[in-house]
Amino acid sequence: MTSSDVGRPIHGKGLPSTRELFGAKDESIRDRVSQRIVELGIPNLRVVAASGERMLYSRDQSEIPRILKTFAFRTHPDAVVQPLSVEALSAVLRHALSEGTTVVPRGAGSSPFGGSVPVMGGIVVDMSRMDAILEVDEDDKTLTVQAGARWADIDHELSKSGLRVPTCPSSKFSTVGGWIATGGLGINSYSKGHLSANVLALELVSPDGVVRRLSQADPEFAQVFGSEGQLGVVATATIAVAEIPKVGGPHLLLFDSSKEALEFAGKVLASDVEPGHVIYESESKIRLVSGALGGEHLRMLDAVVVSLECQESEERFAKLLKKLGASEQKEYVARYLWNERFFPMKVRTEGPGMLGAEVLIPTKKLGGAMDGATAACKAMGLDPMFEVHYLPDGEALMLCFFLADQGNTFAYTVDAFKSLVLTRLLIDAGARPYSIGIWNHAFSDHLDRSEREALERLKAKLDPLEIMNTGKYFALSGRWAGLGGKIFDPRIMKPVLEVIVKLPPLSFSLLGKLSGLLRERFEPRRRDRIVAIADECAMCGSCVSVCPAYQLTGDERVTARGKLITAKAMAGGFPISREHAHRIFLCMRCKACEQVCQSKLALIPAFEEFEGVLEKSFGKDAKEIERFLRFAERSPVYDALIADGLVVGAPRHEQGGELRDV
Amino acid sequence: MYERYHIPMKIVEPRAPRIPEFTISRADNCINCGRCEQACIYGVHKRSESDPREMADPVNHLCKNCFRCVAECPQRALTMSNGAEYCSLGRGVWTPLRISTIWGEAETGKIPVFGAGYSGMFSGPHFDGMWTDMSEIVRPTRDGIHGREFISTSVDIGRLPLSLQFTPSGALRTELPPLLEIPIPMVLDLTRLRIKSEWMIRGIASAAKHMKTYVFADIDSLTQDMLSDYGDCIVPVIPPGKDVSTIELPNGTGMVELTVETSWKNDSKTLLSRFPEMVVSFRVKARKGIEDTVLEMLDRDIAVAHIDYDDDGEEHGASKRHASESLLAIHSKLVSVGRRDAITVMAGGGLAAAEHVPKSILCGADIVSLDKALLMALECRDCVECAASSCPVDIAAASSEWVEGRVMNMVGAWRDQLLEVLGAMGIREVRRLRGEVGRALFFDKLEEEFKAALVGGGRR
Repeated sequence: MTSSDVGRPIHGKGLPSTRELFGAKDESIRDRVSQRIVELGIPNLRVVAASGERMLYSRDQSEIPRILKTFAFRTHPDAVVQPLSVEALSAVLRHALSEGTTVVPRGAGSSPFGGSVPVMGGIVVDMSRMDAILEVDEDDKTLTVQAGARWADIDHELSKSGLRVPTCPSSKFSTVGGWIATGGLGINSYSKGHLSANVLALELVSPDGVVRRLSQADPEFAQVFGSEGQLGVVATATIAVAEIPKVGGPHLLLFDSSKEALEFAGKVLASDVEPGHVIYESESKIRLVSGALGGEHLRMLDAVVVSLECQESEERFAKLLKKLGASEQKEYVARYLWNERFFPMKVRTEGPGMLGAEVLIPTKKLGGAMDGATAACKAMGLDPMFEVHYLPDGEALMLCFFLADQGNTFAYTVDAFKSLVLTRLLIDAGARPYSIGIWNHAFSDHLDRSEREALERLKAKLDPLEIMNTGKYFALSGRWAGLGGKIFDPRIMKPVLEVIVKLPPLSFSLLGKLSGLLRERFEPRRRDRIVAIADECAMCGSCVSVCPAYQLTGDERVTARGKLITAKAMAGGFPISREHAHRIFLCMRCKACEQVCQSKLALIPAFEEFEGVLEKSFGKDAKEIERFLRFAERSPVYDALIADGLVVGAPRHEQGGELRDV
Repeated sequence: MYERYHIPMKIVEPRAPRIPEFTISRADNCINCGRCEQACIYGVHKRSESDPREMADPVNHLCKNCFRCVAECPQRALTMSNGAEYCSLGRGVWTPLRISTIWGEAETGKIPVFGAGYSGMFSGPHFDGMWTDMSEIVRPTRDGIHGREFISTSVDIGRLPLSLQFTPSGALRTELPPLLEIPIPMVLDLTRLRIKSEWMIRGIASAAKHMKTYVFADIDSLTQDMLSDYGDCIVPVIPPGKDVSTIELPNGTGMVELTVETSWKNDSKTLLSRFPEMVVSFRVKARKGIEDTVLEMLDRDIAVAHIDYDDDGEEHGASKRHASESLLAIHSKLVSVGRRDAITVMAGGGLAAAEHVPKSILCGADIVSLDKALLMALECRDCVECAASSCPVDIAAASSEWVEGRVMNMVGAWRDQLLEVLGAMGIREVRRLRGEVGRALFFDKLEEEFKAALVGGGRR
């Protein structure tokens, strides 16, 4: 089955019809894998040839410590392709199958678990430019999108019809395909359930290039969710949408202790309030958020945010509060905090850097697990923050984060190990891992056995030659004929972590002492501003999605995230080419990245500084910059971007609001 | 060989930063998209030369207030406002528009163009209430007003004999009084300038020399060098209190000017007898009854009555009659005694725009003298507190070449506008414009007539 009957695209930045890209000077292709794909001459496919550009695909939201990149994994992809059509995607997969090359599907690269990071090279399929919103059916209340469509763009498009997606991930700049493959639990999951309940149908392209249309009735349908790219690449999805509720809003209550807060949340859930979503945030998290908001809007206490979506809920909630004698905070503060649900990584600026664990846990075990984790963190010299999203059926998604300094590689590596210890502790307290990727592979033995076996059977059917995201999920591979990944094997990692977990307080305090020692010993003497900003960056990829230069070049090196990763790579000794350096200058200075940045990083001054450094070593191609600007000014893609507003939905003028409100 | 009178003009750039009429500000939400650059046909918006990815600051003085950039900006980041400094320029008849128009004329020598989008009033007090006849403006021309036909802007200075008498043999018997002729009805008056440096005097004198007109300057401010360089175009002005019976005059122009004060009648007698070959001008402050003073001057054979109005073109003292009315009264009086051509009427003060020249002449002046407008041509900002040391444009330091170029540009542009007016009226000689009140409508008179007709008060 093909996707020809899906309908005409109504929104999309990378539609094949407007695909003409700026011809920046290119590096010659020296790699065999890339060369072979280029030779195929597949239409609507951009092959990323430059090694420097491929480097950007060797990580996702979280950074892989250098020691692991050197000794454990081959994270640098052999080739990266950006398909713009389902046909191009099929062709690439068929080619990979015939060559027996590993295919790593990638969305926006905003997950922290490493699911889209190669561990043994291969072809990364970057789906983020297949981002068309194909159809909004206002009568049937359905939405059909290409897998690379981002939730923010979808939300904006739907809002024109008074609609919204029932549930979305906390990263609004992640892709639909990415969330299908990695998780499916997020905002409003409490009331609307798992993503698989809201997606009506999807198209999966399996390695043989066949487009398979799966609907909720198909037994394989549910298995695609959380399959982490093992079965194929999701190409399109049809999602049930709902009207934006006209009544209701977020409510905020503050408590002196986490125990009281959790008790209150429990009472709300047990009552007849039927909230849309409930979030608990620990006092330590509130402290950082309040700092990021730049004011004393919040008292430093444990917080519960309850989102209500109808009149009845509001009335019942008011009654419940009266009964409990609880009083809520001002509405604007509640809205502040509720808005922050989309920016959990903002606090990364404080580290700079953040590590942690994300697990699923029964609500009745929450309190115990949090107490245990807090005690362990304190012993290891960490200050943990908790964020709990309640889910249906007595479960909750728990995020436990702590700040870490990415500027100090050694200390950061130890901190990364501590995050494994933390996950171990939480699992021992009754949790299970949420996503596997690379980091959680050590706990993959805690996945549901029958589900895992069913997935294995389906994979044998769809991907018998095992080219999809090879070396992940079922068994982690890596360098040294796969031995590199073995350190994350549950059979190895489990005893190690168990020893540590079983020997407190000695083991914890030793880890804490080690961190302290490394912090002192390897404290970087000088922190480049651009590298410091790169460490502060949440790597959420929002800047990529709004960058007009990216839409005009298809090259992520021109984006803020691309520039920051380049700066970090250079600081780490990665050699960059002259062409790569000159890509950094292809910027429209539109400040869209600064505007959309959740961490409010001062990007433009950082670019200026970085360009100064690059100009010293590589010169500056003023002609190419000029050519690029004139190309942009003539480009219909650019016209459309500007007409829509680069950051969709953002205020367009000083008074705030949309252009038409003036 | 025939040579048509012509004032050479060339671009003379301003020395000080320009004061733009409109200020465009770019808000922080500008995305440097370049739409404004594409929209603006005047070149206000350009990408920065040092980094073309960013927009340069708007070149405000080029803005013509068309609002296209404001309308086209996808971010609504551009705001246009009236320039604050511009709005506070000048006072009285010296409005920001008039001052900046003179700046433009002095820079380019071109006739300013208003009209497109003109949102002002079509009438106002004094000169603004005068509408000159333009009935001939539709006459088809092949090569424009300046090429089509010869329009003379020459005027005479001195007493014209009212009749000529001849001997039977045909020789002229009438003794002709001294008579001068200049090719434009404009002279330059340095005596009223608030600041003058040697360079300014030299520059303005040099401009007068090139344009074959006269410059009026205090006799004490003139050096021997200046006199030897520009003596033939300088009219020395003798300040009050000098003993005219002993005064030495440089020979050159053949014209001298005194100021009317209590002893003027004696002074004039002394001067006329001492220098019978000289054109003697008397400068008189316009006050109530000025027309009678001019009549007295006529009786004493004074060649030129140089009437001084204040900077707003009004009479001094309590009367506050405007030059347009006052000149008309003088003209009518002279006509009524039948001796209009026996004296040259020169008017100065309040001439702030090119059209004030033909309007003054229409009201009865033979010649106008330009004063404050000269300073404006030199970028003067008409500060209330004026001193060379605190001058915002450091006017005293301007080179004489620059001064000369600016003044010639302005006077040239004013003459061209005079030609336009004459051409539109179908008048070929500026002498014939003098006192031609029938070729103009006076708004206040029309209004009175109209009101009278409405209330049935009858015709006047």
